Amino acid sequence: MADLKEELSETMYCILLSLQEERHGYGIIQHVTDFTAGYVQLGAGTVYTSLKKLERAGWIDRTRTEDRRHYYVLTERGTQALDDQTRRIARLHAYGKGIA
Amino acid sequence: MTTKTAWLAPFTHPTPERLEAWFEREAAAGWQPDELGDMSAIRLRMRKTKASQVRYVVDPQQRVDEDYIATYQDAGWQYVGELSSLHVWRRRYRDERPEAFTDSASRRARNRRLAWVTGAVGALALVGMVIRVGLGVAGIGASSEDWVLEAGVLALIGLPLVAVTAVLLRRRDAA
Repeated sequence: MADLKEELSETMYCILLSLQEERHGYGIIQHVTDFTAGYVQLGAGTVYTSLKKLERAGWIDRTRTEDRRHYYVLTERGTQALDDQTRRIARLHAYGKGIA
Repeated sequence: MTTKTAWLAPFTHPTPERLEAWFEREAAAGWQPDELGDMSAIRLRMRKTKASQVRYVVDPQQRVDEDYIATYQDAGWQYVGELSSLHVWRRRYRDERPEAFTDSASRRARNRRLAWVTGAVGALALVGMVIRVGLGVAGIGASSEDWVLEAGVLALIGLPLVAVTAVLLRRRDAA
């Protein structure tokens, strides 16, 4: 399995956040637009490519297919990666606040 | 219905960005591709329509499933068809030009997917050329006198594909 931690981008982080609940590709696009207040707008090609990568890495699982759409949710490994990243970002934020 | 033919479009515009830009210039001039088929990579039929501002996206994918189509369509893209594993999407727009690839990682991955294809076909053509030159020089084979022509054709196929692969890989690193 590929390890994505080194290259976890804003896109990947937002997709992981969104997949704490089961969603399909376009559902992720909408959810990310909502919770970032439009700051992060994901393209369809990016989401499709990212989902394949996350699935290969074992961070998400396909739960079902309905009306041609695959639904995904975080695996235990994905949940752990999301927690690690959230802690890392919080740490960086604290460093920044300490200096600024 | 007024039509015209574009020959070898994916080869004369060999990167996704260039092919997208060409489609968009054609749309602005009022030309849209007809339904894409097996031969469209060689002979692409364009029909005259109203000039319009259209965003085209070229996505190299060897195998796609229904979820791929659904994800793009849900996001507002219209499927145009497939040009030799290049899936072509379009979307009319007014203000901001829509994007299907919104981060550098997915753009790099897109170029990498295409580079695999162009690199493999280009390398095979060049290996074939070397073998043909070797056989020709050694005088092996029934039509050994044709080796210069055959090797030349293989070089004409292989060298541009290898050059395109190099461009795609450079972009992959720079994206």
